[in-house]
Amino acid sequence: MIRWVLLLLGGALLGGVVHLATVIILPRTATQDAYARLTPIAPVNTVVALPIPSPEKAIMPFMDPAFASAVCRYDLSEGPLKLTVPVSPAYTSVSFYTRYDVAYYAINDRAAGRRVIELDLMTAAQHEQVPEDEEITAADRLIVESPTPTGLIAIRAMAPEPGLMPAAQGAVAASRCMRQTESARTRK
Amino acid sequence: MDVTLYNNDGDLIANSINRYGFTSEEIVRRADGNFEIVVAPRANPGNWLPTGGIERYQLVLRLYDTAVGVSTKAGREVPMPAVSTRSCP
Repeated sequence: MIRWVLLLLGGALLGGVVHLATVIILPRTATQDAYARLTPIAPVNTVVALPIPSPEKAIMPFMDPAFASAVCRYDLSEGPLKLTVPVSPAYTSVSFYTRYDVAYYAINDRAAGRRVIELDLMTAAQHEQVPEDEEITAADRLIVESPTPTGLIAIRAMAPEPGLMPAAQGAVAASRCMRQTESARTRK
Repeated sequence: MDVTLYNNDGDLIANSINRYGFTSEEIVRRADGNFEIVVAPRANPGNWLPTGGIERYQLVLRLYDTAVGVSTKAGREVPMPAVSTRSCP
């Protein structure tokens, strides 16, 4: 009797371990995640405007048709990035995702409190190399640390009514994400 | 805020008036500020969200940059929209 109970208990435990391991590993083995879907249309370290979703064609499921959106597929291995997003007349947001689509940072126009959302994106190792005095002189310089060297930045601007869509698309299209090294060299 | 209708794969649903959802600025409200959306395959007066005749769909309500929480259990929650079946053809 006790042997059967132990056997059942062991089986349930093993099943639980396999189940949990599968659930945890699954996102990393997905071949059609957002990063993979965007790879063919989005070159590295460039802002690419995404087409507004329609019933026939949408690059990702559950996209909001009231938003103009763009992505920057980044790679920090060559150096930090500088991101600038002009704020559209309505709600504008910038969200950061790791290579495995985990959101780790987001900022919107109200939180930024200016007409342009401006920030530096770097890995933890690159952040350590930033000279301290530089960080003090640029007190309002916003630095975001990326947990993975590659990932996605999603830029979204709302068009509360269809007539405001061109303005939202304009704000999104005027966004820039580019390597910092060029500007840093000219300063020295 | 906006409400959008999707099929179960997350695609928008094709319809003759290119209406996929309503934003809070587009919606027609009653005198007291409340609003009603009719989700139906055939045209309805007021805020009509066409289903294109599909039987199973998802309504997604998105709240952007709201000052009040809806799931904070703080006691001052915003009442969520109620959903009811009006008639089955």
